[in-house]
Amino acid sequence: MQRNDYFEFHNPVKILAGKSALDALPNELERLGSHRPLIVADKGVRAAGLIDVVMKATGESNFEPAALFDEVPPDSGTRTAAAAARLYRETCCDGIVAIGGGSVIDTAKAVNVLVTKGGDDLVAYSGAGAITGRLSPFIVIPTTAGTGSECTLVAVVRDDDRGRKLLFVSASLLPDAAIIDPRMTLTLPPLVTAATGMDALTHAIEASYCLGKNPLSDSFAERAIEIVARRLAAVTRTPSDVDGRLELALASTMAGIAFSNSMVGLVHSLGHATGAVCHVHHGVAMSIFLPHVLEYNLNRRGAEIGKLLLPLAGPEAYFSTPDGKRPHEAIARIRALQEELAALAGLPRRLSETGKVKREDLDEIARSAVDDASLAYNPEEADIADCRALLEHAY
Amino acid sequence: MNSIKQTSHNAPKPRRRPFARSYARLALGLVGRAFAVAQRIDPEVRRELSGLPRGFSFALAVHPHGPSICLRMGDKGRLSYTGPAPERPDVLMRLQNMSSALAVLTFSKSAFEVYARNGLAVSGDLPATMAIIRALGLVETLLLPRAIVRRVLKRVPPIPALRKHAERLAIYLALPFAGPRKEHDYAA
Repeated sequence: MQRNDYFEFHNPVKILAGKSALDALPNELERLGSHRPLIVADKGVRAAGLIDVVMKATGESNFEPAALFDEVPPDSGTRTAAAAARLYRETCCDGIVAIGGGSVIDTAKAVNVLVTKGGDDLVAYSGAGAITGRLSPFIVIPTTAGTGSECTLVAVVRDDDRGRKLLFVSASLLPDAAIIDPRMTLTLPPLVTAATGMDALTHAIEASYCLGKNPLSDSFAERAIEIVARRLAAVTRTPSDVDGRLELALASTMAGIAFSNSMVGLVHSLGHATGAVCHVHHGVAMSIFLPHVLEYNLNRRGAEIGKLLLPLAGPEAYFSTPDGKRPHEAIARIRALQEELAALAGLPRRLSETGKVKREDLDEIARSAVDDASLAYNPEEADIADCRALLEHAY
Repeated sequence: MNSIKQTSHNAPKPRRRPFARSYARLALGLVGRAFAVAQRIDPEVRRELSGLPRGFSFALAVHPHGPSICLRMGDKGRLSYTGPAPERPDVLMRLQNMSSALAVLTFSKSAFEVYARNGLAVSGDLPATMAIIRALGLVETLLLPRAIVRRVLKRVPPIPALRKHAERLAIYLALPFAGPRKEHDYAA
């Protein structure tokens, strides 16, 4: 079914990366014509002192935010976005700087839609391709190395009135710039480092075999897989490793660029559903489901999954493994990484180890997973019974 | 000052594809009619669409000015083909250009593949869209030979052969009578 006769690749995000990348924030705002930015963050970011890190790095400039909105909850929704948009308007802001993880960045994307397009009704903009035109100046400073949201055209926000997830897909959502500075991820605890790293790995791996894969996204995905495989356990073991932190953050951004242009599949369908029903951390869910879904897709994507062994294990292991065994060996390497992270940081390997999922929840998760839009991009079909069986395996 | 619509005499003119456009209109009309009939006679299609609220409308259109169809869930839970897409249906599936439309409507590529290559944009409720796409797969299975269905679906739905052939016959016989319904028929 896969023919690569046409594809689109889009990444207009300017990436500023390095140990002093934060210092460039004022110049970037000036370039974009923003003089009164709204900072969007959450309480955790503020408590960890990360806003102070930004203000210190930009202290010698004229960078002066017009307002700070730090009320973004972990599973942010339409009301939060509307409240932030109100603050933006009341304080006459002219741009947005998001400092945080996936929830903060996605909320900031939603705020940007509201303040540019007007109104408070995000539902009208949900779906793929519903948002068009240029939005307000928008810079992202990620504080985790996993979501890749700083380089994706996707945002997921809960509809607080109807209790469901709203998905927004539009190139207009892409930030103008992303600032990748290892100072922002240095304080991440080992468990979060491990879970978000596995999230990045999942983005890159799904991007490399799902229906939207293309030669350009493949190149970003392969490099991201190689870095995560080489660095994740080491950084989890030594959280103060600045070089490792920077590499992981870049791998997360590269995985974001890859999956923003090829999208993700069944691992995300199951992960979104498990998050919605049982509030399991997204990265933890990704880590648990990844090897099971790879095995499920072997029939359709055996060759592509076999190629993952090269970035996962290096050329020596790749060329010493017979062709037919490479897909299984690649999956075995991912399981070995899981085991290592479980020993280092207590990363759950099964749903039952999360302490949040009961066996009686599996039916509801399976029903929810088949309605997740990521499933459309998965090479193998999956109905409720298939998802239920996968969940049982992962339990 | 001249009108901004005025163009230079040597500016290139769009080259229309009347045959492609006519085919797309015909194929979309058939899909719209077949969808409405299948929802009445096939329990699986009915089950997939059972979560759509009354009055819910979804449309399939060829962007930017191509043909379109719309289906609407009536007050009694019956799906009706209502003709061209209104301005704001609840879900709009937009084939981004005529090439994408022909790939889907000649069944040479799957809708998933075209979607993954940005040839199909969806605005509106995505869980509802997933249900509609699953139902569309069932409709295609009922309408088309297995060889074609295998090309456009990831997996052929396991509909018993006798039921499939009986429903296929019923759909084709009912197609001429499943034309666009007027606004006052929506209570059906």
